[in-house]
Amino acid sequence: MISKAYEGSVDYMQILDEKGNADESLIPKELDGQKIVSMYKFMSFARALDAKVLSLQRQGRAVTYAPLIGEEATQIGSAMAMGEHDLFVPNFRQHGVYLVRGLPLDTFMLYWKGYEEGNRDIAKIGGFPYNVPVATQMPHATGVAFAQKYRGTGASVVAYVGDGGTSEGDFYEGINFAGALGVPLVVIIENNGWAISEPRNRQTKAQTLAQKAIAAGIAGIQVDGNDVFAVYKATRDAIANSKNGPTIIECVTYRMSMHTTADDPAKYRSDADVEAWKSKDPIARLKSYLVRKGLWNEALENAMAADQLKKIDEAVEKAEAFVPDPKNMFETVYSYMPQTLKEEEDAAVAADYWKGE
Amino acid sequence: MKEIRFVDVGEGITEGHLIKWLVKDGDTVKEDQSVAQVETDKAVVNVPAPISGMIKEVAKEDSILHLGDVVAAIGAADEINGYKPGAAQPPVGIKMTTTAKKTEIAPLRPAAQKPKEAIATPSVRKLAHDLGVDISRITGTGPNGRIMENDVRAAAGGAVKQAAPAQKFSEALEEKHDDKIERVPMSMTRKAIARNMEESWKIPRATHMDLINATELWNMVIKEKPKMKEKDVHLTFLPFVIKALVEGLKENQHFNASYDHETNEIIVKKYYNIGLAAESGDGLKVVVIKDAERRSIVQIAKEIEALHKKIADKTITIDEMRDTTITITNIGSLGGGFLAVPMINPPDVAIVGIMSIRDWVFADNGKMTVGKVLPFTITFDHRVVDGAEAVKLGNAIKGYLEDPDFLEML
Amino acid sequence: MMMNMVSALNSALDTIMQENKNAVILGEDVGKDGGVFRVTDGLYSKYGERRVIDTPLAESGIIGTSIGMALSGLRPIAECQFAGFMLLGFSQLINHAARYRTRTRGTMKLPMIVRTPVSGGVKTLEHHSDSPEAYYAHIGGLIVVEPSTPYDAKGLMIKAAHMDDPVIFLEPTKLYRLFKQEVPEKSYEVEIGKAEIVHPGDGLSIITWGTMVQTVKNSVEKMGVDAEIIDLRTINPMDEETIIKSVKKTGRAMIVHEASLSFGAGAEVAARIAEKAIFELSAPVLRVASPSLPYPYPGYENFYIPNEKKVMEAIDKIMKE
Repeated sequence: MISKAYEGSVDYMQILDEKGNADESLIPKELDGQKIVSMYKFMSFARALDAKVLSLQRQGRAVTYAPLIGEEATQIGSAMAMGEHDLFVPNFRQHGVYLVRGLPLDTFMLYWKGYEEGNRDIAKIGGFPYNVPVATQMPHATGVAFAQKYRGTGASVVAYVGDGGTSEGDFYEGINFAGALGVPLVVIIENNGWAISEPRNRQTKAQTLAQKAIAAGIAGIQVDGNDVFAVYKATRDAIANSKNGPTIIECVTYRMSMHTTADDPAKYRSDADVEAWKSKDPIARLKSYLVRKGLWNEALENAMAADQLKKIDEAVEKAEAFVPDPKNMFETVYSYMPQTLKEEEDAAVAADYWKGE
Repeated sequence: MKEIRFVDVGEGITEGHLIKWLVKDGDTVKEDQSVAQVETDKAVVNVPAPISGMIKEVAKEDSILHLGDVVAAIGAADEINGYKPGAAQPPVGIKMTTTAKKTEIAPLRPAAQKPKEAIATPSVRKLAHDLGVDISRITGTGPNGRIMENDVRAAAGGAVKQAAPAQKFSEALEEKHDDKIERVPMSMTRKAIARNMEESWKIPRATHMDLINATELWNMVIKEKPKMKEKDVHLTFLPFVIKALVEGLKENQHFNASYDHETNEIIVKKYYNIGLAAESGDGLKVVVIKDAERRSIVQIAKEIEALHKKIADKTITIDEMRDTTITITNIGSLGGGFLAVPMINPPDVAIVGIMSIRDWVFADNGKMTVGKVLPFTITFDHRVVDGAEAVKLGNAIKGYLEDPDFLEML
Repeated sequence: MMMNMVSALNSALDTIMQENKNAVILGEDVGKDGGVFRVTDGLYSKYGERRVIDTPLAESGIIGTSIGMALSGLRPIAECQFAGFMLLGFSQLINHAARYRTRTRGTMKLPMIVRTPVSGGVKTLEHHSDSPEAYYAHIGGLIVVEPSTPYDAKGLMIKAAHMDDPVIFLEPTKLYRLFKQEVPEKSYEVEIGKAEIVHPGDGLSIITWGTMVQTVKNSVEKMGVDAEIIDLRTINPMDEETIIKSVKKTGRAMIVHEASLSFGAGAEVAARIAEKAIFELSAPVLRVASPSLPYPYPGYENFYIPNEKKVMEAIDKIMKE
């Protein structure tokens, strides 16, 4: 006898299509006009900030940077679905999430200027610093979520990982632990189609990344990652359900720019590939939705852009005034200062050879 | 006005190729607008304007840019018109301060005078340095020509004398007798003994001396010896002395003790671990007969032999050499002497010295008899016990060893 | 109470779980089974599955999850079953545990302990006998502890649980049941970052740790040599002061460890002696360690691990210098 040992499927959700038409029945009720405008502003802000850091890097005023352009709906939609007490664990591209959660801009800039002081206030916004080794943040997120359950805080945890990250052992270990321990975790797979030069189909034979949830015995859904409503709804529903266990949300989006400023996509993908995704732009489609609803116009657009640029410039100025102190790195390694390290610190402080310019 | 310089736009880029200008010389551009396209080893990148203003192109299209090269200048029209490009600057971030002091490093000595290689340990090199001696000129007397401490001191010669007003006695001797003096390093055992004896010397002590009529004992050992030999046991007088001492200690417990000078207490021990001072190849060692009160004469005899063998074989463990409650030193076994006053083995309270058994004329009620005598001494910590108690312990030992009944019992 | 190292560690964990409601134990087989060496024996029945957690079989997951727990107010004590398997979690330790505090400039802390059995001599399978202290000590940010006695094991474990640092706790399997010692049943701390002079002496300093402490002690006692034996106890941060003070006194230094020779922690000790006490040395610094190759299958372990004879020959050599 042969019978089905397991039967499963993965749903796909889209609410706002490429032309800006929405399936209103699926838009969550709390998303009123004001909140949708706020979503739009955050998405625009994220893109403006992105362009600025890229420019600063090209001028030698910022470190190697990972641009987010094209992925705004995935980041803003999921971040806005979080409650104030919910926590998030990013990888290295979730600049939009930090913006929504209220990280001071100059703190953000400080990080991209190459100073860890930019991570100093992350805990205050319910988040964690960027995690550069791909997918290593996944078990952390599971542990953070376990602690919420253990301590009964009621908070959920939203973790971010890329399409390439789903190939890592830590991705599977993270979701598998989360399922086995039954913790309140939501995993956003920010599937932007590329892991540097490797397209999504080089990562796995699996038809969707969301179906990896099935292996861990947890919930999974795929959504249009350029549709801020779909991302918002999927995240909000997963958080609401998180006391019953984890959910994976695969957001299908597209990396419109380079992996980082050290990368040149022209070497491995054609302009036509990118062009095809321009018509699916998450900001453009939300804008046409808002304009059609009479919630947005060019005057508002110009005023917003000017305001955002001013804020960014002020933040850059503040961050560039920062003076690093070698003591900061020595004195925050251990809970006490070992004598041997103190000697190294004293030598570093006394020396002047490390001082640039 | 600002200069746009070529910076590291990738990760570790040092040069780039200016492919083309994206604006014309004299154009007005906005902040962050791309002005030129540069190709590096890693990517083709756009160079943005750091501020808004008029652009003055400096680098030529299709030219190679190095880090720090000026690509263009940007600013107000009047500034730009009067602008003259300066020299290339090192890249941002690794620029050295121009005021940094340069350290002149002079060659240590002219190459022609390269000295022969000196073999010496760092401590000897330091000594040479401290004494102002050029170590390369010293001939070493150690193994493989190694320069020893003595060689350096010798080379330092008179200079040392002047430098050190209070000359050490050893140095004075060396100076006077030169090669008739040899410095012999102390072995680890010797050093340990030295330290132990310095400790012992701090004990205020006194000695009680007496003679034991060992005639009966002698006869008995002579009689038993061959029988024991058949059983592979080497019987001596020592096990009997140990047994008599243990019995004596039971009646005079403060001798089987240690002194705690911090609390002014006597630590009385209810076990009898008898230390035996034994000569080894590299100095005096103390082996211990543990729990002697529970052992027979034969067992003790065997134990003594085993311990001496371990000393000879160097397989003795620290455990077999410590935790004494009192010590016996058998001076007689060394073959000479009449009476000796040994040093106490801290933290013991007392040490018993026994001499060789020899013929002796005993005067008893006006009659002379010839027998065997065993002279002994008890040296004791006078903080803990007094002379009267020592006499009492001495008499007890004496009593047991002179009593045929006691000896029969063993 | 007389305890071996296993019971001392068990007592320490029990103490920590009692003292701190946010302490949890996690790992493979730590629950009902009480751990493969029984270090967590009885804790599952006492504290329940909420606090003594059998996890899926994945070391990176165990350590990574512990990091998340520690970041969120818990005090995880993770067990990795063997040092060789723990390397699957190496990325988590080096990339995250070591640097989390400093990269957030001290605003996020990792109060966590990762325990693992180390070193050989007990005829185990392959990959069960590594001595990994140097890798964890190298990066900075991880406290690396390795006790050699039941008393130290309990005191160091409790101290580790009272600190806000990630502590790698290395437990020599060979010493787990080798001997018993009087260990207080109550809570007590042994200072981390402080070596112990386990045998005073003036003629030679021997710096050692873990399984080799016993070997060195036996060798010194058999030879009756006037050596000062220093049990390092904490590999990182190292108690340089005690080492340098001793070497300046004795003028001779020898380092004995079970981990392989090249790039071992002994090289660090030797370098520090060279930097701070070279002019007091009467002889070159000598290292005694396993050969510079991977830990062999047990049929060869007698050729590999330094034994008393090897240590005694080295002592003889350095004393003749």
